[in-house]
Amino acid sequence: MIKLSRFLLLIATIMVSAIYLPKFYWMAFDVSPRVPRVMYSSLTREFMFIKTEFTNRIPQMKFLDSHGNSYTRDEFEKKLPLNYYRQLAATDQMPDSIGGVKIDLKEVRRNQVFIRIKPYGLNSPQIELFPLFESASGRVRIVLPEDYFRIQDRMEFINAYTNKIDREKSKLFTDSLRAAGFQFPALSIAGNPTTRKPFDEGYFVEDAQHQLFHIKMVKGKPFCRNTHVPTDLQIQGIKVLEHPLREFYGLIVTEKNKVFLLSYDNYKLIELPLPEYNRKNTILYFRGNLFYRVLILRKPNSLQAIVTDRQYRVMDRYRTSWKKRDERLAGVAANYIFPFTIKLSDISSNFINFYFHLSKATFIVCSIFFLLLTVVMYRVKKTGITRHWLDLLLVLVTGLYGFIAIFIFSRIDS
Amino acid sequence: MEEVIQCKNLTHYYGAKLVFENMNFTVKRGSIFGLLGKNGTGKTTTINILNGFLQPTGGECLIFGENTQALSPPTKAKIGFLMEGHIQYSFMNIFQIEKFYSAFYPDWKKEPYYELMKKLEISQKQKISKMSCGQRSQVALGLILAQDPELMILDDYSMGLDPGYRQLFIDYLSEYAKAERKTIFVTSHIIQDMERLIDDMVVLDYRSILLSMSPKKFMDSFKQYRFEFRNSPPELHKDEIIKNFDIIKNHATVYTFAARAEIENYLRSKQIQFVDLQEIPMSLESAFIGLTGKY
Amino acid sequence: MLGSLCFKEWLKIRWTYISMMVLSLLILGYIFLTLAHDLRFVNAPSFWTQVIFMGYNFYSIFTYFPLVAGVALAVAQFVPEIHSNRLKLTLHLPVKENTLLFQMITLGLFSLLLLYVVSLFLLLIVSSFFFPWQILSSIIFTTAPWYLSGIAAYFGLAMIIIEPSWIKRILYAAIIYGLVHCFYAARFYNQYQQSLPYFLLLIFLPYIGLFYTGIRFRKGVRSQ
Repeated sequence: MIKLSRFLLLIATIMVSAIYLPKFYWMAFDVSPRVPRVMYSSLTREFMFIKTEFTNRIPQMKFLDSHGNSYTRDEFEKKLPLNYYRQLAATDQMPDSIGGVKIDLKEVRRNQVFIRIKPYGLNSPQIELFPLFESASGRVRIVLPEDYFRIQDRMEFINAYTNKIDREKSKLFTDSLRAAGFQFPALSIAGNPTTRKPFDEGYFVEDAQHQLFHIKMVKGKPFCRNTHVPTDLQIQGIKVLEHPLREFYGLIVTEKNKVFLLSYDNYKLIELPLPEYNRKNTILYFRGNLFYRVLILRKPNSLQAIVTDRQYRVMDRYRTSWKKRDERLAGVAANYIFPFTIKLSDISSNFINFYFHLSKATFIVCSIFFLLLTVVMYRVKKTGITRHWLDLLLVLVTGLYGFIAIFIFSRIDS
Repeated sequence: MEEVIQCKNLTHYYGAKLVFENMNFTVKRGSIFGLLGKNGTGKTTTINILNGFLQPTGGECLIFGENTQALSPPTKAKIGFLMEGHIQYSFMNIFQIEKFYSAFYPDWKKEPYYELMKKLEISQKQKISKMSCGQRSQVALGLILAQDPELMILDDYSMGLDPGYRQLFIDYLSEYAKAERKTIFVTSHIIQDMERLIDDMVVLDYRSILLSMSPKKFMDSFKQYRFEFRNSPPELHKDEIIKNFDIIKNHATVYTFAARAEIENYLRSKQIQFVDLQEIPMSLESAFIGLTGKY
Repeated sequence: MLGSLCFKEWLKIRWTYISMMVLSLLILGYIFLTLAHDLRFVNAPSFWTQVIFMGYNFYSIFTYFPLVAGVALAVAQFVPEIHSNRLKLTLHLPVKENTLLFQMITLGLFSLLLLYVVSLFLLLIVSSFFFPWQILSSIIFTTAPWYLSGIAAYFGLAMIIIEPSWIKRILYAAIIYGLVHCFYAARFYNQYQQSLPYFLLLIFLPYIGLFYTGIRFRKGVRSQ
């Protein structure tokens, strides 16, 4: 039992070391990659960049075009009128027309779209209670309702003041959902539960048979409609947009790393041309303006920008990458020092877990070093080495961590 | 089995510091055994080894034939243990502590315990931590008596006790041991009580055993001689004959196991001029100090 | 014998334990008061939005209570044992040493669990006046790591207190601190929901750690 007791303590020490030592190491040695900001000029039809360069540790912004020409901020902004329209309008430098299209500031503003989908945003804790707004109240502002709904074996509205179920309203919506062919319970519910939006489109709800329903409340009455998107889509997440353009309801990310727009045209799906998107490690930026869509995929070691027209046909691409952490000196060293790393959080999820990362095989070098050190230590103290084979094995497999563990929880000699 | 405790080739170091080396002694059933020595000679170290609270650097101790490093519960039940300073669960009162221990010992006898407790001037709910040192010693003693063990190991029972309580303690112990043929192992640095109590003793010096015999034999054979010298002080050294010596003014005192004639011859052979050699009678305590030295 | 040991352990921890019970009631009373107050002043639907979508934690004052209780219990139960090396008396009892230590730590574990279950139950009762099950379940998943950390700290501290060497105690404390710290990585509700079974296993790593420090105590590793 004492051996087991010590063994468990060794494991605890190895785990704690594997969590904190790499963390402290990277706190000391990590540097942030210099990722350029990428834009697309509607005037010159080329990518434009803002890069940050450091002279004597002082950051300095560089404004560049795709040929490497440098600009002043003013020149740069003039080349990107749809990105900087507010600045240009304020200084009266906004062009009257772009590409032969007359520019109306209101239209420019109305066509601005910005969506960001983070990997961990698709995998986040959620209390499954949502407010169902009145989407046709006839009033300018959206009002937070008194009740919150949940969809289990039926759709229920719970009044926040009394914490009681509103039976009548619940029955009304449950019946309506049933009539629309909804199979309880709901697997996922997506919407924008905020009053700070121009209008309300309610929620998109996946039922027990993976049918996607659009649910909202119109003048107090349920609006439940089957979108008829394919049930084998394997939806991972839905980002509802509620944009005055009313071009699409939102973005759907699937388990197979596809991204679709859910269009207002009878819930038709439009696939975005993003073959390299990976929902587990890519931040997706969707920027839209009067003429183009700029899709940016930000991965740990690379950035990809794709420009499409308003029909999502690819017009141009840009890609840049930077050294992986593993390729820099600190990373190479880390692969020697740490046999593996345990992190409690990960970009892929908002859930805390043990995210295990195995180092490159180079860690063996250090493990053998610590193994020899252990053997020498045990020799000096004249303790039998063969009796402590488990210690040696632990040091071999877990290197530095194991060595720390057997150092702190030293052997009990009998 | 006649030997209750056997220590063989006991050696212990604290780090690089040697406490004792190759120490051997045995304690026979029914005897009261005293482990004596000045502070720092390893009495408590020995007790700790005997109770399995210290792993010796070398050698081993057996109690009832079991290695003290791994005493079985039945053997532990046969051993009563008095910690140095009469440490007990001081957050309990006398009833709670009796109730606590009684569950662990099938042969628990609560009468002797309560008999002792009756003599103490304590209130019913008084916690042991609020008692005087003497009262605490009685609680600890009472608990050991109630346990009725075959072997008692008492670490410095006399520490902090008034003469009255010391006397009381010894009276109980000797009566108990004699009446029931129990074995007692005591350590003490107060020697005067031992004379009446112990049958056998080991005197520890730094690093080794200085003496191992019964107190009676020790008192019979260990002598103190005093003589005057005329000229310069004699050059005395500790050796086989002279165990210790003192020189004060023009008197010299030697401690030895040698008979009078023997010591006279010895002094002559060393060409030491002496006058008026007398044997001075000693108490056990002064004999002990004579043997071990004052420092 | 077990009953007798329970009795001894209870005598040591009773005031601490009762204090912790009272403290948990005070904290819960405070949560109830602020909740009732806030629901009167902020309107209830907005309050729900804050809880559900912004992760407002109305019981955050409770965060470190289980940890404090675990630490306090370990101190109350094991410091009297090493005070004057009294643990020698305990280990001299005619029971196997590790059996005794296991019984002691398990008794502590159960008393801690009782304290935790009562406090969680009361927290849920209080909350159930105001919130539906979805929010109650998020309370369970959100407080679970706090409770687990308290148990881990209790096990770890028990082991540390028995360890005879101060240098080792500090090293162990660093490890146990790191272990306990793992339970406070959340910034939002339910973040431990998927990994609770693993974290549950994690707290049992130091469960019998006191066998290890116990044998060091028995072998007389010198306290420095």
